[in-house]
Amino acid sequence: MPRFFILLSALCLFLTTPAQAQDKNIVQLDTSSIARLPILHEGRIKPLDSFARIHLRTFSGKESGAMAWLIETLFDPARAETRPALKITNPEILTILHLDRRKNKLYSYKEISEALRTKQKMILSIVSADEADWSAQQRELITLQKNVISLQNLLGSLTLTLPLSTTLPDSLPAPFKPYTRRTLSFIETLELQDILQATLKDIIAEKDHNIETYTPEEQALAHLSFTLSLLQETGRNSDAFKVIPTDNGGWLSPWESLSASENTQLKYWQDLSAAYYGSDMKTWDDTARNLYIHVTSNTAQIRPKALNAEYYYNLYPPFFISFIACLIGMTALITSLFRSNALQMATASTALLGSFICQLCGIALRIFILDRPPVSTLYETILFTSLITTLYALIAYRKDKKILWLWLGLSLAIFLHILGFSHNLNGDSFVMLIAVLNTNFWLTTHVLCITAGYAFCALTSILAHYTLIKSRWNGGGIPDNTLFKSTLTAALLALFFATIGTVLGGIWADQSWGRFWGWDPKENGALLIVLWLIWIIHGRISGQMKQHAVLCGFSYLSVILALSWFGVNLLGVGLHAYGFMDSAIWSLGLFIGIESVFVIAVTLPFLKRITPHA
Amino acid sequence: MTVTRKLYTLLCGPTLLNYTIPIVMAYLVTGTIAQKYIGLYQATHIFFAAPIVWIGGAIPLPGMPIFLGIIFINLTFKLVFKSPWTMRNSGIILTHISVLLLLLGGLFTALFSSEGYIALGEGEQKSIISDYHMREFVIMDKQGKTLTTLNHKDIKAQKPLPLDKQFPFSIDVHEACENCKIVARENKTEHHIGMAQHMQLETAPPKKNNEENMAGLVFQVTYDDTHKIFVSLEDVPKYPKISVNGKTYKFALRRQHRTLPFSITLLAFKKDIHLGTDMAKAYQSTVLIRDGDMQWESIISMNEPLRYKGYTFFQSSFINTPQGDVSVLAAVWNVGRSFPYISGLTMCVGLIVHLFMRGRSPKKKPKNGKDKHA
Repeated sequence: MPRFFILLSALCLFLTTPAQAQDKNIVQLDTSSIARLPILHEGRIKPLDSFARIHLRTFSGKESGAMAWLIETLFDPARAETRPALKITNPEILTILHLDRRKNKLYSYKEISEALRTKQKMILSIVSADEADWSAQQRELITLQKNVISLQNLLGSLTLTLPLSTTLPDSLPAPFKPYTRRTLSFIETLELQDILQATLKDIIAEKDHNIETYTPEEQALAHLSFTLSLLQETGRNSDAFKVIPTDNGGWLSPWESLSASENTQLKYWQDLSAAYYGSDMKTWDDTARNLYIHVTSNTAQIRPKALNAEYYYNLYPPFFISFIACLIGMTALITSLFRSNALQMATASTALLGSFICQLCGIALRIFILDRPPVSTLYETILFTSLITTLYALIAYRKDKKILWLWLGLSLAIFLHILGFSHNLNGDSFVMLIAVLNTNFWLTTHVLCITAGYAFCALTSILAHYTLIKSRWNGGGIPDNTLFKSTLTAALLALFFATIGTVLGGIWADQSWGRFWGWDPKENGALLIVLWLIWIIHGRISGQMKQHAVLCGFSYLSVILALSWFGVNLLGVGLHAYGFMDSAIWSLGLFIGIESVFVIAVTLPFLKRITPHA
Repeated sequence: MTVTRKLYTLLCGPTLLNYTIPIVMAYLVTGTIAQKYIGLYQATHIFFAAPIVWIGGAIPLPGMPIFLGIIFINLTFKLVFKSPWTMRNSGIILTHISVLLLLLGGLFTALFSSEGYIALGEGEQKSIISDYHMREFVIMDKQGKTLTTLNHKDIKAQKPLPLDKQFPFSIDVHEACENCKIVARENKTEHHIGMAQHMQLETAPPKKNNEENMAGLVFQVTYDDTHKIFVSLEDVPKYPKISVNGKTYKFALRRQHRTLPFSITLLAFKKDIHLGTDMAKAYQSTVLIRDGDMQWESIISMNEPLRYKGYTFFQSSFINTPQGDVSVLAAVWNVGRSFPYISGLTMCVGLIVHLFMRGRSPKKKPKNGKDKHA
């Protein structure tokens, strides 16, 4: 079915262009006025601000100025279609589309849609092939096509309320008089359209389609009729901007509401258009406020507090603030390497605490916005893992006041924040749950336990890294016993949470699918962590693994963790379909390579030293 | 040291475990990666369930169940003969017992469990479970009563079917494929009947998901100097049939059936979707269970199964049909079901006790690099 839509939309690109609204210099309006308006998108009611950010991030990879971009896209599509907002990073795609390379890699809708129109045969041949056989370049081309269609959909969203470029002359007969000498919009001409069609039919019957033989009045009517038809054609496909709730619980786009005769709220959007073109800031703000009150007070599905919370979550992104705090803390720690003082320690510990508070607030906000436990996607597991590692580092620092915990806590938090940001490049991070995941009890118990297991695995590995490096730095002697014990404690906690989480997952699977264990890749990944930890811990207990080997094993736990957490998602098979991805294989390979080199590097001198005694 | 003593030491000590776990991990990783290429069903059978793994089809290696068995024996010996049954060690003992229970549960499940599904339209009543994977060839009478069944896996091409003497005909199999490719028949004769007139079957590579395979048979029925060649495809509702001595026999290839000791009727199916999407938020089936004179209603929804007489019914999925939604209920019969629950609880308690004891008790200094109580 999606393939059908791509094909259909590809053909539509030939036939239609967005509405040509009047090009006019507009004063900067307050974007925050409409930023909190609710919209239904991907199964969730969210503020318009989120909708704008999701789309701009998908199109251009950035989200700053998203509301201003959306307002222009909605209210001034003629200008917006020339605004560079679509990113093309692949130079081969640029070559195919005959576009020049640009530093910012951004191209306008107009440029790309015109270029794509000449490549429809190629696109049709790609979509008719099996998706699994697409090359990376073909995949990017189809993604670009989808983005263009999505942007086209947005560009046409409010064209029914926008002023048309045609003005009817005063000399027209009586039925047209009320519509002459002023700017019209599609919606204002609804009552006129029957008369217009009838009049035009008479003109065509008399003068055929040769427009040059028409009088100026007739030409104006023909032009208006053509414009209206074109708008209606594009509007028919414009269903993304679902801002109008209906009495039966559904949500409609302005164009859909027109055909569904549920258009009482269209008046507000008409007024917003008028305010936009009249640069009337007061009317703009008042209309936006009234529309917000009208929609939120008449629709039970909307949680205004959640909308507000999401708006502020976007405005002051807690995880980005937390990242900044970590960077400040890390800077303080790095400067302490040269000249240490109490202020640097205070800064670093306060930064770690600040980061924890920001992360906690972020997760609390996500729980409030989604009205469910916070962990259901790969991105959310990263957020929760980061929270737990930060908390553990804070507790450990509070307990024994060692700067080591600040180093570990901050570096892990920075790494996990970057990892999190890289998993939140496209789409909405607040996703709706599929039926089987829609259970608060199991999401809270199983997923949080497994994620806590990941957190302690990360802590174990980084502690082992540090212990090995320190041991090597000190001439390859016996590793620090206190550090070794700390690593072991983290490993036992990792084993505890990973084991309990895995067993709980099995019980959830038994409740949902009727089997405790199904050898699903994600289940196997979790078991791999448990087995690895059991192997190392029992190797130590039995004395078959010396401290150095145990530390190497714990160090390499990062690779096992990476395979279990992210690697299994590369396979693209199994029941845990929430995290499939195919773009991270090189990053994962590089990470495994670096870790393998590290373990070999710290092991080789050790082996050389014990060889003579062997 | 005698061989017995050495074996005893080996079985009680951790050495065996230290060599077994990496092998289990290797199987785990290989089997997981293999799923991408051969699918879950095949990968499970080759790497996780088979006692013998054939490398390149020629070199036999002990499979994962063998190594899990070794771990089980090792752990049992360790618990019985070696573990210090002290309070300080209670966490470890409990955890080890839970692992034994888990492995035992796995064994019971592997040996005695069965799973299948029932697809029910609204108002439809059934008392038969269809297997997800196993197929069977069935000979029925005119009324559809099963006279004999043969496992499709046991049916080989170019071999006759081992039929009871009650049947006044013999069957020779021309083609038997687990996943068939249909090709146009070119050598049509008067012996080819029904679908066989137009098509023949060829063996196609198995699909990644076994459920997607289309099993089929081409067989010749011989009676009273009459030869009839039929094609039978999985779940094709029109069955080939013959009439011999006034009796009618039908032949069907279908998912293996198991009869329930009660019946289920779907009264209503309800699904909720996320606003503005096709994504299901929740779905549930209201069913009527009839068992002898008793009958009662029950609701089966995601994560809320129905359990009765050892069977558990799960809301698995649904199928959109022109006649309305068909609810698909997974049906499982598993004697080892309670093991993971008991094991999970024991493991949780054991690990908590161990962590608590470890944090509380002063630790003995390790001797020769070994810490016997860690």
